Amino acid sequence: MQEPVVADPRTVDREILDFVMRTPRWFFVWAGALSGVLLAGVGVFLLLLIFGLQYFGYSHPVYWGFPIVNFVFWIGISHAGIMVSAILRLSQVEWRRPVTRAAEVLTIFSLLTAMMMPIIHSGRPWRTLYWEFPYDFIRGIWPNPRSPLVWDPSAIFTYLTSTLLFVYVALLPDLALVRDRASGPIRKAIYTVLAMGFRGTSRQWRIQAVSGILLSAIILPIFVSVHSIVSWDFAVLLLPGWHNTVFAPYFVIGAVHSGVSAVVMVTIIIRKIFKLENYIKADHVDSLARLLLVVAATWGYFLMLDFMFGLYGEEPAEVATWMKRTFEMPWIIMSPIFIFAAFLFPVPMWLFRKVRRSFKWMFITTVSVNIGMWLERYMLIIPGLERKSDLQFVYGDFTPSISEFIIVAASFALVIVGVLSFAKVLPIIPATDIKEGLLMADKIRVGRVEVPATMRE
Amino acid sequence: MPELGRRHFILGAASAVGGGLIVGCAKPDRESRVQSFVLAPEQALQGEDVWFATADAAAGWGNSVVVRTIDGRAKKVEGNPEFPINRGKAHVRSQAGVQSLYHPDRLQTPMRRRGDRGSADFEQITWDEALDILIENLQPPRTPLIITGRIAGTKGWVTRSFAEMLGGRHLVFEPMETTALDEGVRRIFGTEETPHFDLANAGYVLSFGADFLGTWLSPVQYSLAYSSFRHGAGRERGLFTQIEPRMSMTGSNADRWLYINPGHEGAVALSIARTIVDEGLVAESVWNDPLGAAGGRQALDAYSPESVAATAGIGADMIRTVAREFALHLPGIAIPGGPALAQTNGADIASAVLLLNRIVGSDGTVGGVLPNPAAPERHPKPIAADPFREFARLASDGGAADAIIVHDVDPVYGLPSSVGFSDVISRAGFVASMTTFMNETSAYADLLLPATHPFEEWGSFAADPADGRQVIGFQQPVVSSWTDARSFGDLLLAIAPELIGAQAFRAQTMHETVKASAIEQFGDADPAKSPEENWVELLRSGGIWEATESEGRFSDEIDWSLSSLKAPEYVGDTGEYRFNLMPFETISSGNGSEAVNPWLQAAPDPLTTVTWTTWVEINPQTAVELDLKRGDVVDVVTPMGSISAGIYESPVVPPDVIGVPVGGGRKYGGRWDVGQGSNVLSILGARLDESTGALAWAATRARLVKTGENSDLPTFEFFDDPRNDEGGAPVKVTDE
Amino acid sequence: MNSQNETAARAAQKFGAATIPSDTDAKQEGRRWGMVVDADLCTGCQACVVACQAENNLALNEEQRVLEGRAKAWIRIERYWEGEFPNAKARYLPVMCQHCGNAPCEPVCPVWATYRNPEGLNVQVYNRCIGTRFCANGCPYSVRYFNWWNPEWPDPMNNLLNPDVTVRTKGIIEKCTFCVQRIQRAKRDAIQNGTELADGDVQPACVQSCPTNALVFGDLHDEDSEVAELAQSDRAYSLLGDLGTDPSVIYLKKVDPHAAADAGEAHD
Ligand SMILES: Nc1nc2c(c(=O)[nH]1)N[C@H]1C(S)=C(S)[C@@H](COP(=O)(O)OP(=O)(O)OC[C@H]3O[C@@H](n4cnc5c(=O)[nH]c(N)nc54)[C@H](O)[C@@H]3O)O[C@H]1N2
Ligand SMILES: Nc1nc2c(c(=O)[nH]1)N[C@H]1C(S)=C(S)[C@@H](COP(=O)(O)OP(=O)(O)OC[C@H]3O[C@@H](n4cnc5c(=O)[nH]c(N)nc54)[C@H](O)[C@@H]3O)O[C@H]1N2
Ligand code: SF4
Ligand code: SF4
Ligand code: SF4
Ligand code: SF4
Ligand code: SF4
Repeated sequence: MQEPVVADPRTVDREILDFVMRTPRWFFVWAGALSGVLLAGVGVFLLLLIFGLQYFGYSHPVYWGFPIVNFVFWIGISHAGIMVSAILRLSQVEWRRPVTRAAEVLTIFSLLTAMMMPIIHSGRPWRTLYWEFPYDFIRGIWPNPRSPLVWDPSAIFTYLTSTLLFVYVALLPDLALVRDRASGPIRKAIYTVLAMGFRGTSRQWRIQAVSGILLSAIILPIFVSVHSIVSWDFAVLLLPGWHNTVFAPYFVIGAVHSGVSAVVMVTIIIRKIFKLENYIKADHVDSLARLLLVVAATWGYFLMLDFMFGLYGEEPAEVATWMKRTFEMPWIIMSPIFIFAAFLFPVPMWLFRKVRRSFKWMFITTVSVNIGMWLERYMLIIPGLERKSDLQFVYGDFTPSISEFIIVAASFALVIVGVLSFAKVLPIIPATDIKEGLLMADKIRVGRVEVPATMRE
Repeated sequence: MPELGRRHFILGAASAVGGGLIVGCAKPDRESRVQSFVLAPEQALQGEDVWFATADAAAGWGNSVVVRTIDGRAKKVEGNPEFPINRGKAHVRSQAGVQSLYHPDRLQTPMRRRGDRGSADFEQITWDEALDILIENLQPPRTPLIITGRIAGTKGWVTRSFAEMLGGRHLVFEPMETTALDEGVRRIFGTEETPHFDLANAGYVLSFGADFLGTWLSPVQYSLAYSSFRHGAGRERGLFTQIEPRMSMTGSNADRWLYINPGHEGAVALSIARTIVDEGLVAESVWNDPLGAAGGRQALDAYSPESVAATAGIGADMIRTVAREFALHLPGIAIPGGPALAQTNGADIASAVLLLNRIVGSDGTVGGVLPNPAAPERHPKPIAADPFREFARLASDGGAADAIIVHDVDPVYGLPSSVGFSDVISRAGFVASMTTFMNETSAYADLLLPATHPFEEWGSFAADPADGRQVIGFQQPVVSSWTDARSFGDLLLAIAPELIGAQAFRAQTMHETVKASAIEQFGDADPAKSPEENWVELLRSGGIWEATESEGRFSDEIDWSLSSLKAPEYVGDTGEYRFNLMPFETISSGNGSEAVNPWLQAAPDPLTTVTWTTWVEINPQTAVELDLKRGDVVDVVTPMGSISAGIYESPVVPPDVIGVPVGGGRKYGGRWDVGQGSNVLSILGARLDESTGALAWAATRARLVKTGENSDLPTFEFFDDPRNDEGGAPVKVTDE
Repeated sequence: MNSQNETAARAAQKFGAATIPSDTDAKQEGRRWGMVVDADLCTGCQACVVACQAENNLALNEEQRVLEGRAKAWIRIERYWEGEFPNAKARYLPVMCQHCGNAPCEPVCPVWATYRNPEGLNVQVYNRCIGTRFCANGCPYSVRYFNWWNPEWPDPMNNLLNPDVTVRTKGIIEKCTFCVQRIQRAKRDAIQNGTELADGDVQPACVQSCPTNALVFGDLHDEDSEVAELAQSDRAYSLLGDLGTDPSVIYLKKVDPHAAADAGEAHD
C-alpha cells in the first residue's frame, strides 16, 4: 500500500535541487570533520607505504586482518545499489523511486572504497596498482588467471563500470534539469557537457528508459558474481572455516542483507538532512523493511547451513575452528553480539508494523545489522587463519592495531564524504523519476475503496 | 649417507704463503648474462668463493670448519668434510661464528683506563702505547697471573710457557667445569685423556645427565655417532636411556627418560651394577676383576635397588629394568655428565658411572669406551679448567696478585658472586684484559686490548676427545681483521723478548710458531713432498690425523673404592628452599660467552623454544600450586642471592626442580646481549666437590618469590593451545 | 620456457658461444628435488636453523620480532609435548617449505610470483611479489614469511650477506627455496667440470649442517638416490598428508619403543 508523493513537479524540482543549489553551514562542519578522519587514514597509509606493514596488527601466520574484513564489508554494502535499483526496477516496484539514486551512489563509493582496501593492505601497493592494469604486452608478463585476486578486480571493475553507466543513464534527465537551473558559466558548462544534450524528446526518453532496463538485466549476473568471487578469496583455500561449500551464495545473501540495510540507513539520513520528508515516506521504509525480512531470513538460513556443513563433515580442523569461534575468548563475546546485532535483534523487530514505519527504529535496526555484518566478516576470516592446520606450533592470535582502526574509520569517512559530495553536485533524489511517478500515479477503485496505483509503461 | 665430498673445496694454500687472501673472480669460460639464480643458465658468472679450513671458534670441542669467503669477506661456516671428528658438520655455535666476527660491538682498538676500576671508563690509545704499558707493568719482580678459557694447541703452549718463564701462573677458567669427569676417568681408567665413547657402535647408551648431543664435550662428534647408533646401516637401532634431574635436550631424545634426585646418580649406577652382578646378566669373569679392584662385590650390598630407590626417586623395578636392558644390549656405554658431576660427590658419581662400563666389559671394546692418545707437546689438547677451588682461594687469601692478564674469559661473571672475584681483580697491582668483546672482568682492567676472532688468527689444536686416534687440527686466518685486533699468542710473543729475553721463543709471531712446530713434527707427513708443501697440505685439509682408530686398552688398575661414595649435600635446606636449582647451558648461548651473537640469542632453546632471555622452567602442576603462569616474573632466591626471570611451565620438569639457563644477564658485551635476562651463575652456592675442588654448580637449592609482574616470554612456539589434547600431533610415532 | 630459450640462443649468437646447455634438457626436466626428514634422528639442535639463516640472508630475529610473532625461520624445529610428567616427551619436527606438487600457495598468487619450476621447486620470485599474502594464508604449513620492514644489518655485519641470495625488501613474501642458489651452483660446477650431477652433490645449507643427518636431499625421481630409497621406508609419511598437497618433503616416523607402554605406565 503506497502513500503517493503529493506535490507538483515544480516544487519537486525546487526541493530536490535545494542542496545542489545552496550550501548549508553544517555541510562544511561535517565535510571538515570527515576530511580530518580521512587525512588520518592517508597518514597511516603513507606510513605503511614508507616503512612497511609493521604498523598493522598481523603477524605470522595471521596475514589478513581489518583491511580485508573491511573490503568484504564494503563490497557487501555495494550490493545495495544493484539490489534496489536493478531488481526493483525490473520488477517495476513503485516505491523504489526516491531511494534508487542514493543506493546507486552508495554502491559507487563503497565499491571505490572497497577496492582501496586490498591495495592498502598489500605489501607493495605501487606494484599492486600496476598488476591491476598490466600493460606489459611485449614481454608477455601477465597476471595469473587462476588467482581469485585476478577474478576480484575483473568482477569489481565490471561491476563498477556497469554501475557507473547505470547511474549515469538514470541521471541524464536530472543532469539536464540541473543544467537548466545552474548559475555561473563554469558550472553551466560542466553540466551541459554531462547532460549530453538531453532535452526530453520522446525518442530520448525511450532510449533512456530502455537502456536503464537493459543495464538492469545485464548487471544482475554481475551482482551475483561479485560477491561469489569475493567468497572464493577464501573458499579456494584449505583453511578450516574458509571453504564451506555454501560460501558463495552465503556471501551474496549476506551482502544483500547488509547492503539493503545500508540503503535504509542512508535513506533515513538523507531524508533528515536534506529535509525530504515529502518524498521519503514511512511507506518506503516499510517496503524496504519487508524486503529486508525476506533477505534476512534467507541469510539466517545460510548462516545455519554454513554451521551445519561445517559440522556434518566432521573434519576435526573445521569442528575445532567452529568451537573456537563459538566458545573461546574473544569470540565467545563476539558471536552473541554478532548474532544478536545481525539477526536476533532486528529481524523480529521488523515483524512489527510500528517498527517498520518508524524512521527512528528502522535506523537503529539497520545500523545494528551493519555492525553485526562487519563482525560476521571478521569472524569468518580471522579464526581460520589463527588455527590453520594440525601444526599447533605455529598457531597465532590476531590483535588489531590502532592503524587498522584508523583505516576502517577513514573508509567510513570516505564513503560518507563521497555520498555527501555527490549530493552536493547532483540531486541525490531522482527528480525525474519522482515526477514520472507523479505522472503515472493513479487511483484504482477496489470495491468501495480507492487505492493508489501506478500505470505501467 | 653419501660421501661428504665438498664439490668445491678450495685450498687455503695461497693463504699459507702470507696469510693474505685470495679474491677469486675467475674469468668465465663462456659469456654469460646476469640473471636470477632461480633459473640462471649454468654459465652465468657468479662471485667465486674460496673455502678456508680453520679451527672451530669453539676450539675446545676439537672441530675443524671451513669458512666460505667471497671477495675477502667471510660468509658461511660449515664443518670441514675431511676432518674426522666432525666430518662436515658444525655446531650451531660454530655456524654463528661469522656473525661474531662481524659484530659491530667488537673491541676495535687498545684502550687505557680513565675512570675508577670497574667503571668501564676507557680512553683509546695506540698499540705502541699499549705495549709500553704492558711491558712496564709486567717487569720483575712482578709475576703475572694469566687467566684464560680452555685454550688449546700452540696458543695453549705459548701461554703456559710464557707464564712459567716469568715465574707466574696460568689458570684456566670455565664456569661449568668438568673436573669431576677428568677425575673419574683417571680413577677408573687410569688415564689423563678423556676417553672415546664409541656411541656409533654401542648397543645401549646409559647417560647420567650428559647432554652429549647439545653441549657436552664434543656434541657434533656425538651427534654424528648418534645417527649411526640409531639408524646406521646394517645394525639394530640402539637404545638410549637418560637419567637426570631436569630433561636436557639430549634427554629429550632418549627412548627412556628417568627423573633422579640430583646427587644420587652414583648410587643408581651402583645399584644397576649390583642387579647385573646378582642376576648374572654378565659373566663373572667380566666383572670380577674390576669389581674386586673397586672394593669387592660385598661393597655393592649397600646398593640394593630398593634401598637406592628410596632416596634416588627412581623405582626399584625401573632400576632392574634398566640394568637388564643395558646388559642385554651390550656393548653399552655409561656416561656421567652435566649436573651428575656438579655435586658435592661429583667425582665419586663419575667414578661409579664409569665403573659400570668396566663391570659390563665395555672398556676397550668397539661400541664401548676406548682410550684416546695423549697430544704432542707443542699442540696440546685444550688445557683442562682449573677447579673452582683455585679461584675461591685467590679470593679468600686476601692477598693481591701483582699483575693479572685475562684473555677472553669472564670470571667476574662466571663465578658465584659470593666468591667476590671482582675484589681479587680490584686488588691486583695491574690488570690487563685482552678480549673480543667487553665483559664484566674487563671493566676492572687498566688496559683493554682487542683480541682477534678465532677466524682471524693462527693456531693449532689437538681434538679432545678424539675418536681413539691422534687428531691435530690447524687454525688459519680466513679474513684479515677489520678491527685493530691482535691475537693473544702474538701479543705474548711480542712482549716476551723484552720481558724474558730474545731466546724465550724461537719465533716472533704465532704464524711462524705454528708453522715451525707443524713442519718440525709433520713436515715429512708425505715424504714425496717438501716440508713446505706438507704444511700447505695441513692447512688445506685442516689438520692431520692417524688413518685408523688405534685399538687400545686401559690399564687394569682402578684407583677408587666404591665405598667412598657419599650422599650429596646441598646449599640451602630443603624446608626453606623447596627446589633443586638446575642451571644448564643452552645449545646456543653456552655459558654466556656466545650471548653477544644475535643469531644465537634468537636460536630457540629446543625444549622451551624461548629466545633472548632467561626463564625458569617449572612443572605445570607445581606452577598451579604456586599460582604461577607463563611469563610471571619470579625471583629465584638461593641462600646466596636472587635473580628474576619469567616462568615457563614445562611438562618435562619434575615437581621439585627448577631449571634456569646460563648465559643471561650480561652487563657488558654488545647491543644484543646487554640487559637480556639474568645471570643464574651469580646466585650459586660456593659448594665444592671435596676430592677435586670443583664447583658443585647443581647443588644449590632455591625458592621462588612472586613479583606480581608478568612479561611475555619470547617463544617460537604458539602458546595457549586448545587443540593440544585432541591428538593428531603432526609427529607420527611408531614402535617399530 | 620458450622465450628463455630464444633469448639464450640470441645471446649465444651474439657472443659467439656455440652450445649452451640449458635447464630445459630433457633429462633435467625429469628431476624432482626432495628432502627426507627423519623425525627419529632430529635432536632439536638448531644447527639447520642457523645454517639456513646464514646461507639465505634472513633478517635478524630481534626479541621484539619474536614477541610480535614476526620472527622468520625458513626452517623451524617444532616441538610437540606428549603426555605428562613423568612420562612427558618432547618430539621434534623440522618444518620448511614442503615444495608441494599440488601447492595451495601457487594458484592463488595473482602475479605468478610463486610457481612450480620444472625441477619440482616451489619458486618464489621476489621481484614479482606484491605482498598480498594470499599464498601465505593458503600454505597449510605456515612456512611463508612476510617482510614487515626492510631488513637491516648494522655495519660491518652486512659483510656476511651471501651474494648468491637476494636480500628481501619490505612488503614481500619469502620462504625456503631448497637453497636454489646451491642447486644452480652445483649444476654449473658439474657442467664446467664436464661431469654429471651426482646424488649428494647438492646440499642445501640445512642438510649440509645437520649433525645427525636427519635431513637428506636429492632427486626423488632418481631411483638410485638416497632420498628415493628413504622415501620407500615403512616409516615414511607426508606432513598433513590428508590435505593432498603432495609434498616433496617426506617425513620418517619417530621410533619410540615405549610409545604404547608409556601411555599408561607410571614412573615407578
Ligand atoms: N569426492 C567427491 N566428488 C565430487 C563431489 C563431491 O562432493 N565429492 N562433488 C561433485 C559435484 S557436486 C560436482 S559439481 C563436480 C564438479 O566437478 P567438475 O565439473 O570437474 O568441476 P571443476 O573442478 O570446477 O572443473 C571444471 C573445469 O572447467 C574449467 N573451466 C573453468 N571455466 C571454464 C570455461 O569457461 N570454459 C571451459 N570450457 N572450461 C572452464 C576449469 O578450469 C576446470 O578445469 O564434482 C563432483 N565430484
Ligand atoms: N569451497 C567450495 N565450495 C563449493 C564447491 C567447491 O568445489 N568448493 N562446489 C560447489 C558445487 S558444484 C556444489 S554442488 C555445492 C555442494 O555443496 P554441498 O551440498 O554443501 O556439498 P558437500 O560439501 O559435498 O556436502 C555437504 C555435507 O553433507 C555431508 N554428507 C555426506 N553424506 C551425507 C548424508 O548421507 N547425509 C547427510 N545429512 N549429510 C551428508 C558431507 O559430509 C558435507 O558435510 O558446493 C558449491 N560450493
Ligand atoms: S609448503 Fe606451503 S609454501 Fe611450500 S609449496 Fe607447499 S603450500 Fe606452498
Ligand atoms: S604475497 Fe606475493 S607471492 Fe604471495 S600471493 Fe601475493 S604476490 Fe603472490
Ligand atoms: S621486474 Fe622482475 S618480475 Fe618484473 S618483469 Fe622484471 S624480472 Fe620480471
Ligand atoms: S633448503 Fe635451504 S632454504 Fe630451505 S630450509 Fe634448508 S637451508 Fe633453508
Ligand atoms: S640440524 Fe638436524 S638434528 Fe639439528 S635440529 Fe636440524 S634437523 Fe634436527
